[in-house]
Amino acid sequence: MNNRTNQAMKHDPVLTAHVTRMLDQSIEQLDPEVTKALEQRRKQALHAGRPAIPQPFLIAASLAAFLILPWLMFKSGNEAQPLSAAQPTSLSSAAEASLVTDPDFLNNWEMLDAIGEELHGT
Amino acid sequence: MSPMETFLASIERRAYRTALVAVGQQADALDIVQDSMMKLVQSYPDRNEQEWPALFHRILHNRITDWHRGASVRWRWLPLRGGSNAGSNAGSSANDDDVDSEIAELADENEAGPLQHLSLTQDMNTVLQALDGLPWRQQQAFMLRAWEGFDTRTSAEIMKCSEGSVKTHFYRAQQSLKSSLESGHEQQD
Repeated sequence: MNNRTNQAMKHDPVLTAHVTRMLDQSIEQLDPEVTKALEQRRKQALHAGRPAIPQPFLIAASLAAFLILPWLMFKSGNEAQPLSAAQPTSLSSAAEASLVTDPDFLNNWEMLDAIGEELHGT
Repeated sequence: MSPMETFLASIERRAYRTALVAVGQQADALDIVQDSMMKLVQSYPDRNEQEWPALFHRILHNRITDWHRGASVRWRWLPLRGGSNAGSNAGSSANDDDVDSEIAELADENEAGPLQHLSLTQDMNTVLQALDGLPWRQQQAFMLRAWEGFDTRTSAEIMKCSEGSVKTHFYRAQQSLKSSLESGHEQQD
């Protein structure tokens, strides 16, 4: 069976030579616009395929960013902390600040009455 | 000009012809060629230059196969647009890989002799149309084996099938081309 198959599936050199000759001829006679488009596409592919910056530089830059960014964030956090204590920015920190600076803030009859408490020491 | 650019310049027109025969549309063929070039430049610039042709054709044929899959989906949603080779080729290639045993039974060695006396049409367009009418797997096998000159093993790697399937597809392609070109020649006369 194998012999029969091999014999039957024999390569046909005349036909293939004829068709490949026609294919070769077809690419020789390609439209100049297509040839130009192919050239442009090749240049675009080469340009897009290559990284603009060499890879070692990219690795070094990303490592540097990996080390420097956490340090910068830590540093800016330390600088911001004293500022927030001196100048409260949010509403809750403003209320806390008023409690710290004015301990008699709640020692006010109207305020305590409003929340259903009694004034201590009276 | 870099070695990669020289290589791409040397194969771009053949790649375009392969893609155009397969997809039938100039813009799509150009896109496929560019996409394949880009993939080769991005993924395999450091590989041995002797490996580039096979690698490039593997990428190119994958892209064309993807296009055919997309086309078959598009054609499913546009049933009125029949008659294009894109959908029909993709569909007919689906079950083509399991035909080795069938070919052994169907092929008659008395009929499959050399075509020494066959008068083939000399019209290039008729030949291209005959190629265009082949199912995609047969086109692949013919282009890779006959035109690009890859051996059966490399062609099988590119086509992602067995060597037996490559032989079968190649044989069937030759048979189809033979009958198409003979009839084309008769029509010309």
